[in-house]
Amino acid sequence: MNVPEVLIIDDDPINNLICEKILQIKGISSNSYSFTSASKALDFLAEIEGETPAAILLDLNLPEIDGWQFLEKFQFLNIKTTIFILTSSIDPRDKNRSEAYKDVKGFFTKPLMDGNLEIIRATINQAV
Amino acid sequence: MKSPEENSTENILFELNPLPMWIYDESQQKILCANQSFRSRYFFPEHLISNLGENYKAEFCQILNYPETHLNPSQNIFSLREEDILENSIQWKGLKVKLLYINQISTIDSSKLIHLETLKKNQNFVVILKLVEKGRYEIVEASLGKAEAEYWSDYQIIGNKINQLFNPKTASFLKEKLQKCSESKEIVKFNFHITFEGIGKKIYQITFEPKSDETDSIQYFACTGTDITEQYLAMESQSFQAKIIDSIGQGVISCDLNGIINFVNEYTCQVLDYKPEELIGQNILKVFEKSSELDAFFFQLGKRLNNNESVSIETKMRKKDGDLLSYLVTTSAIYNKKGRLIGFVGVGTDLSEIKDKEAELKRKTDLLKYALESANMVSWVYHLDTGTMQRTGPISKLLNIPKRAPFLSSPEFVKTIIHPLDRERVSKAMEDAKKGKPFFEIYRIITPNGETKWVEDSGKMEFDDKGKPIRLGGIMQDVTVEKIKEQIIKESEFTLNSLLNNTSQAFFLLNREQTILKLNLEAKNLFLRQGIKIEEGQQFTSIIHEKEINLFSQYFEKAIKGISTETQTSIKVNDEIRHLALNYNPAYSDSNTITGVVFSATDITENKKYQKELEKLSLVASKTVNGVVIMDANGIIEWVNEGFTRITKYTLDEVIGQSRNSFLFGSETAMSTVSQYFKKLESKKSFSIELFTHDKFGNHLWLGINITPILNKDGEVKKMIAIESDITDKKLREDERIKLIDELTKQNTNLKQFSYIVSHNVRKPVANILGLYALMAMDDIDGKERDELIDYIGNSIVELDHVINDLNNILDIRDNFDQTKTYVRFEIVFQKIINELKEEIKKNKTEIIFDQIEVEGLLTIPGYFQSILYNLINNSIKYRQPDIKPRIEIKILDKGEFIEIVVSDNGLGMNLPQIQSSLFGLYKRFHHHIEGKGLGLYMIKTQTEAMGGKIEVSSKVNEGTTFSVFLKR
Repeated sequence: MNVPEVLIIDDDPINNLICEKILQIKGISSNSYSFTSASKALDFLAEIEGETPAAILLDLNLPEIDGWQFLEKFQFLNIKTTIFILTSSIDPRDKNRSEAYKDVKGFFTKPLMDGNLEIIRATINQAV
Repeated sequence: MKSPEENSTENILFELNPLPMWIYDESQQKILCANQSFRSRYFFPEHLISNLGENYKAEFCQILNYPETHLNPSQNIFSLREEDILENSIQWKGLKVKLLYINQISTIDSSKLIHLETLKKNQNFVVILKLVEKGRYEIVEASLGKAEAEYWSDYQIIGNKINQLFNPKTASFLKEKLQKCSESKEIVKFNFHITFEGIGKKIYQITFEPKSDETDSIQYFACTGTDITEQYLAMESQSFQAKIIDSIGQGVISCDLNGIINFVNEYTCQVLDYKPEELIGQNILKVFEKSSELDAFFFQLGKRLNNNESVSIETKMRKKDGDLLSYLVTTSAIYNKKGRLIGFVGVGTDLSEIKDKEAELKRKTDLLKYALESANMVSWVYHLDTGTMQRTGPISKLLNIPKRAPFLSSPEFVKTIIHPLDRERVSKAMEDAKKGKPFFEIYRIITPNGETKWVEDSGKMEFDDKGKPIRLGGIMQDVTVEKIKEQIIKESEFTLNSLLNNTSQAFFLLNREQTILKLNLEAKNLFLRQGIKIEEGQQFTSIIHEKEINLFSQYFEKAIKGISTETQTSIKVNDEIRHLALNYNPAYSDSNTITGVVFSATDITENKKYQKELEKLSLVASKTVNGVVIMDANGIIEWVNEGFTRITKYTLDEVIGQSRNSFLFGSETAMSTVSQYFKKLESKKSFSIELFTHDKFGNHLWLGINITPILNKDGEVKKMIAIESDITDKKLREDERIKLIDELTKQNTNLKQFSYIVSHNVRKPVANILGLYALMAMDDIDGKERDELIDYIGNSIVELDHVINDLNNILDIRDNFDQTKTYVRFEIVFQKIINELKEEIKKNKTEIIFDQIEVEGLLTIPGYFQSILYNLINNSIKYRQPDIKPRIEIKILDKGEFIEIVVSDNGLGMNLPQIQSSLFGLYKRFHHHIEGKGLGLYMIKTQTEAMGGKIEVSSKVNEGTTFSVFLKR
């Protein structure tokens, strides 16, 4: 599998569809991929060599391994990728908690809208 | 033939000279006298010396060789030669006479033998010393006495120099004397003390007489020694005893057999107003009234004094001015060493001051007592130099030994009779006496038959001119009876004192003048506490409140008359008045006369205050709902109120006199509380404690107890007051509160969860709809895509509806905690569930086994119960292993208070350590491939807990999961 530019981790397929479409339509990235399981996403990230995704859009409320557990494990992979939390949660405690992770560069509330899309765009451009 | 009459030095030298000597008057042809040595050897008939011509020396030689001239003819084995007789011309009593003597006895062996034999019968010795050179004296002739001869023989000492015979100190002493003799050319006399090993100490009177030869240079010294040991000691002790006698407060007078006074002591002289010299030599009758009594007295003496007894007689003594004095005279006989009666000694006791007959009788009794006591007195003299002890008096009686026991005088004996415990003390006192301290000791002696006696021994050391102690003399008295009495008195006094001093009552002993004679410790403290110092000798009235003095005196007088009174008085203390409870009692003396008043006093000021307070308190205390306990310092209950009985069910009668601590705790009381209680109790401070215990009937009880110690001024606990209250209700309310807080905490957690649900699960479909709507609005979306998006929007709206329904369900559980319970039969419930899941069970070929159904049914909330079991069974089917036929085992176990519902499957299982914390969380899902909202387990847990139960889980990945639900019956 090619290394996608944007990696989406969310167990909600509707959200994943929305994200992929909007990234494509807005011309930010046509190379995005969705994982509905965090552990599978981790397995994938552990296998890739050289190239890394420019950004990861991570949901927090996931079965088995949730977003927080993903972040813990991600630290040990030693991959330089910008993570954006993309959650339906409007709970400020979640935002605060996410700031403790250095890889997390943004906390976006669903749905993915204009301002946040521009941040993702800038991140991808910078990576390129 | 005569012996020299005049006791001059020359005569003594002549008399005691070992050489036979005689004085011959040529003109009268008469021997004027001969010395002892001569007389002991020769019987000198006067008639033999008539017609002695010029050749008298030869004549004498011839006469002395006659056997009949010798006192002991059988020993006449010698022949005296003319040259053996020497002569000197001397002046004697105004006459010019010849001193003849037999010289160089040493050359006349046989005569010497006899001569020495004679001498040895004497106590005396004669030695002739020759000045060899300056400071060197050699013995040229010796005739030793009996004692010395045991030590030396004549032959041993002749030819020796002084240095060789005596130790350097003695030798130089003797040489000094000889030197003096040589210089002064006069006779030197002195007492010489010498100790012979094995014989003992001897005292000699020594005379050195210088002798000149023809050239008039002094070369020889005639040394005569007279053994005066016994006389000396006797004399010494006599003079010493006389001193003692002088110092006693009784008249002593002695006379010889003819009634001639030969001794009076100072006391006698004072009383009779004579000087000693006015009495000595006079007839004893001079100091007595001539009367028939005296005759009777002497008569009695003559008859009875043979036996060492003494006789007492009342008589009148005549003073110098003729006045008569009444005296009791006790007379004893005096014997000399040989046991011959030589005189009498009388001891007089003054009777003149005795006034009435009763007193006289008493005195007589005393005197009799004294006489008895004095019969147990021993006077003694201890000679330091000889180590001997001389005693007079009934020592044998004192020591309970035969009269003539020979060992009485040995110092070792003295040492052995002194009690071992006192030996050191007595010998120390002896040593101190040597330094001049008066000797006074009361010590024990052990008589030969093992009896212990107390003796009072007092004496005085006498010193010579140089301050050297010579002898110790004293009087020893048997004081055993007194000592025992004293001990008994001391002991009883001690017991009494300690009794008095340890009692909490104050005691005073006042004499008739109201002076404090004695008071105990508490009495002192009683006033000392008020800052007043009282002591023996103080007037008691000085410390009483002035208003009370009259009353006090009234009772005091009553007590003096023998009437005891109990009353109260107040004393003035600075400005404060203190109340005393007083008890007046007459104090009796030994003779049963009232000598004063003894009274006890107790300070009741505090008591009075305390009583008043207590009265007030008890009034309040008896009415209060709380239990009130009054205890003494040791926690012994003195009083409890009705409240106490209400709480503990114990009545006052049951607990009075009991220790509160003895029934305060129960087995249910925490040990930590008990130890905390006693720790606080020790602190003497007020404290409160709550403890779980039981009442008299064993009913559990939470008791709140506050203990306040009441301290006196010295900080000692006097009383303790405990306020006890039943706090069982309070404790129950507390428990409820704790439950409520738990519940609230739970609710709060739930609220948090709700906000989470809202933020995630409600927000999620809403966010999706928003996202989808935004996509639809974009120009790039074609019609086909738009239709797709509309479908998604529809799905999201359905999802939102589900979440809202779930929330409703959950809230429904929470709102219906107190739903009415009905009895549920498990069989029916299971049938219902299996029916609902029929499709699933069939499709997956699920096997459901009811293994162990111990309980048939339960009183519970049917909806919840069914929901729990439904969810558990549904989960087991849902999370089955894809390739294995699902198998569900159901058990219902009887666990007493609980029933345990066990649902175990052979499904996928879970990695519990990883997910434990969120297992039962709302919308938590652990199998992403299987559809689920994460609501089932949350519902199970919520419903179980709502019914007061709990849920447990065990699981292993790919092996299966077991849920156990515990429900209260």
